[in-house]
Amino acid sequence: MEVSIFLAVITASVLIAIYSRYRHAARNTRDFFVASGQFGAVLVFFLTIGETYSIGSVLGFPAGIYTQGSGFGLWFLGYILLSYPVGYFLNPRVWALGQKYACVTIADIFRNHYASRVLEILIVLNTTLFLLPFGEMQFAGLMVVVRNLGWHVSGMMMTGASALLTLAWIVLSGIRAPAYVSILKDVLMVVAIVLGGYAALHAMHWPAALPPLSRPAGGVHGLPGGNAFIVSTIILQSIGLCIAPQTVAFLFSARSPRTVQKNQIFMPLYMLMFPFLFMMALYVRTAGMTPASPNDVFMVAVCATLPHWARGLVAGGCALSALVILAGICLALGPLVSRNLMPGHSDRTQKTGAQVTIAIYLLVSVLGGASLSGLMVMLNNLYYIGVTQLAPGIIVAILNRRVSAMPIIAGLLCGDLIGISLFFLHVMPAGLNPGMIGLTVNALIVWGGMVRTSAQAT
Amino acid sequence: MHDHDRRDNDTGIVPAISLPVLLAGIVLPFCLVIGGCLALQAFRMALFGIPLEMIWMFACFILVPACLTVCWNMSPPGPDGKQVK
Repeated sequence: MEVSIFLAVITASVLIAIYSRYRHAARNTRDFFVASGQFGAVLVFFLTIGETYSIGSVLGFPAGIYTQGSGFGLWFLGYILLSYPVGYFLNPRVWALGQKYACVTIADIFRNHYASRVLEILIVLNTTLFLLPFGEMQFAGLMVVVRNLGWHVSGMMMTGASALLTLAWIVLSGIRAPAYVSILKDVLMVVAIVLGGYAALHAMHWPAALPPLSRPAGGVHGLPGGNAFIVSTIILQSIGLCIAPQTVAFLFSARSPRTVQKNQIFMPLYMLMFPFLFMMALYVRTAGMTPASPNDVFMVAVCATLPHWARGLVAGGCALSALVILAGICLALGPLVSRNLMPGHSDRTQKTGAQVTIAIYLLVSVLGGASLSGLMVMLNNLYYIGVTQLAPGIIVAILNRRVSAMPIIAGLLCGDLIGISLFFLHVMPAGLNPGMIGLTVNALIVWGGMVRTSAQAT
Repeated sequence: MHDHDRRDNDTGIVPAISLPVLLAGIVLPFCLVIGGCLALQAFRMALFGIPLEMIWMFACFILVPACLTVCWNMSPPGPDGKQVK
């Protein structure tokens, strides 16, 4: 039964992708990757909100609550929630930059504003490097779902089929496929999470009988660095979520900046599903279940509380969740390589080049996902350390300040180097997130460049 | 379903940022979420088994949109030159 429902969901997604092509076959590269900036409020909403219920969030949040308690919930929910106010101010202005320079990728902003080929290549390398683990994360999550459902399908076969499906969506109709499929995906995820959370509440006899969530040993919240780490991580990642390459590409697909801004108001309401995920983690913890790994917590709760048909629905929702996010990353990555790394080609060649890049990326992600281990949160942290370093350069462009590319390049390199080094050395000065230290140094270098340019002008 | 929904008739103009708008849209949400949660965390109390700081975080899922709605209403787009087109 669960396999039939799962297959029905996947078939529905393919039909939706075909429908999206039937409605609007992509005419050129800009249309293929950012829908020529024609998406209305609904499609932009579902595209940009997708990150909230990625497979990483759905599996990672209960995993973190299970192992680290409420402190994990504070930074995890805090950064997602606060990315909406940040995006309220930032996103329409990034959209305006996209319109001004006819951008398809985030690197287009840097190329056009700073007129530097070196900076453009650096932005491509920086984003590509940090997007690589993000694709693997989706596949690793998918394998957790399949393993817990006890399906006799090898992980490699499952992720390989998923990669092919993602590629098929993209080739069919570019950004429109994940945009349209994301509506189905989000409806399924909401249903799955509410069902799972309600079943967990029922099984726990909440609120009559529930012991308080015990604090982890070694501190109030079980996170290294204490409150300084929580606050700095929230600030860092709330900015990072807004300027991630795929988010920026989604913004370019919007028709109007006010649409983008208005969506940010309603997005936090979409997080009202997280209490249900919290309850599922609480249920696994209080019922004394022992998942094989923390990432299994969500699926352990699903398998223990839901009937077979609902498990099929959850599996379908999780699979679509992983694939929609993956498609978004691919669509951000493909033109970064074919357009920014290898410029000067015709529109058609750019599109083909991007599709080849996407195929290679998917292959690498499948192979990487098979050997991925440990908490997904670790990869998540590394991703934000790198991606957030683009913020100072984007803010200078938004402010329309003329600064040479040199301070932006220097700031980006220093920010990356410091953030990653501190991360791998497990050094957190004053308990701050390593990425925040890197971002601060980056911002100071860029600010110095601005001051110097102003002084030279006068 | 179309790429652009029929009600999507926004003006395409973003209002300039003012201090009250920044306070309502950024400062207040950050204070509510970070300040509120960390303050409640210090009490180490729970309601129906759920830590108070988590309950506050869940409440912020409503409070933050409320702040942004105030912000939206404080800054209707107009034709002045300070706006970003």
